[in-house]
Amino acid sequence: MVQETYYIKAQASGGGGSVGATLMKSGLTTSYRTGDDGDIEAGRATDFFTLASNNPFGTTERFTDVLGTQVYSDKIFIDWSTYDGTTVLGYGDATFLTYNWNDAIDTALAWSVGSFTSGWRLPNINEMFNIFNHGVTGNKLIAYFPFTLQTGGGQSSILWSSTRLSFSTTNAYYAQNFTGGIRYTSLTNTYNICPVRDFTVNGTTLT
Amino acid sequence: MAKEIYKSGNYIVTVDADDNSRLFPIGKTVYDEYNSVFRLTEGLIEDDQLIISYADSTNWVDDSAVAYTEATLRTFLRENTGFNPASGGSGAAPIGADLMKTNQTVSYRTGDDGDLEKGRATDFLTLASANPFGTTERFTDELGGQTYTNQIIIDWSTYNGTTVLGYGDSAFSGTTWDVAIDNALSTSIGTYTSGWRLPNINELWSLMNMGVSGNKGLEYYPWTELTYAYIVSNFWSSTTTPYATTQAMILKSFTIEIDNKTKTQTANYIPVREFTVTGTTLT
Repeated sequence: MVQETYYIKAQASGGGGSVGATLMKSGLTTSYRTGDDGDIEAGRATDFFTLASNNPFGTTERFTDVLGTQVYSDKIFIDWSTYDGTTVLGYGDATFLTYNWNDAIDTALAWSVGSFTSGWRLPNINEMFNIFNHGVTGNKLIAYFPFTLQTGGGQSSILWSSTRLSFSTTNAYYAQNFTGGIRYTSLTNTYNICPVRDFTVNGTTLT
Repeated sequence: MAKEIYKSGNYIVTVDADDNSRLFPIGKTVYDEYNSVFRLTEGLIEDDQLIISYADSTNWVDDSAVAYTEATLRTFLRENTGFNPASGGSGAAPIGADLMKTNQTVSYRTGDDGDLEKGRATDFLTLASANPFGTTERFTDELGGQTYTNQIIIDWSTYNGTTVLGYGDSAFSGTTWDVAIDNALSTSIGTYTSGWRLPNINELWSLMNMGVSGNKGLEYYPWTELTYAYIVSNFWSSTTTPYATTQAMILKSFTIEIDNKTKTQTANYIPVREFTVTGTTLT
């Protein structure tokens, strides 16, 4: 029998909390029949762009720049759906240049934007798939605001991930922006990149 | 007298049945749920806690004397608690979650996925903290074990404190997209006779394990405990291709890829269901 209300001394923090998170919605909101994704819209957040509660800047916008606004002067796109209370993922812009997989990783590791001069890397395939919006009207799943502000990235057809195949190690995965596909190809092929970085959040300061 | 809990400025104010009043600083207070109770904790350690059973929720009122329900009290606590213990100070509750690891653990060069292993949890199969059954296993059956008698696999990486996703086994025969949705909606396994549906593409992709030794993304334990799922090549998702509505997104398990397929063609499916978690009971 559980007591109705009582006070106790804490033993330690953290026990019993949730161990995961509901997956994000796919972004598809048009329904083609009962029971399909657009009908059920299963997933976390109010919608693909709107958080269920506020980000540290006091808004429910899933994507902001590093200052919490929609200006994106430095072309850094913070995705608050990945905020775990300590860190959050931010995606950078890239030029429209293409790279083989090794050069793509080197280029991402050497990326520097404003005061964020280190910590950039090539995203893994989950981090690329995470920004696919299945509610776009065209055939580019990253062609939505704010990623439409990118020079490369969301304008590119294919974006490398850092994930190699476990069963065919001369290949790596890429996100096919123009079809919504996740596929793999030879490391020697040349594609675009969208560097990513883990930002530490202290109040409304991202470092 | 009615017990009160409400927000006042930067504090949650509570007044219990004995007229004891307390202030919980919003920026220093967290809440969680276990064994059918809400637990508010101020600070990290050595501070008092307030525990309210689910059943007692309706005996509490806000500052307008409006009684809570279990659901509205949960919403109140989620909106007015939460702090950042690591950095010591955003004052904002976590609104998201780190993405799960891909499970690529072999590194081929500095800076690749296997080198960095970015993502949530200890590894693809091991949670960072215990699930409601007290283990760190990402996947269990609905009883918290590894028996899988009902061929239901619960994925605790999707547990948000209230609900968790569980997947059923696949039928071995392919169907069109429409039939796959119909079949998923009518799935009944054991006492779980309703609530099943076809997973969306995000839900399917979340199961792909980039650390498998072969080319089948579901060929890992506990999926290998099911009869068919790990030996099926293509799975329908419930997600229509946004730019070609006669097609839907499919998961190609045998190459660990996502592609599009005409809805009148055939593929397999696995059903998914949101289970409500109360203590260690899944309904």
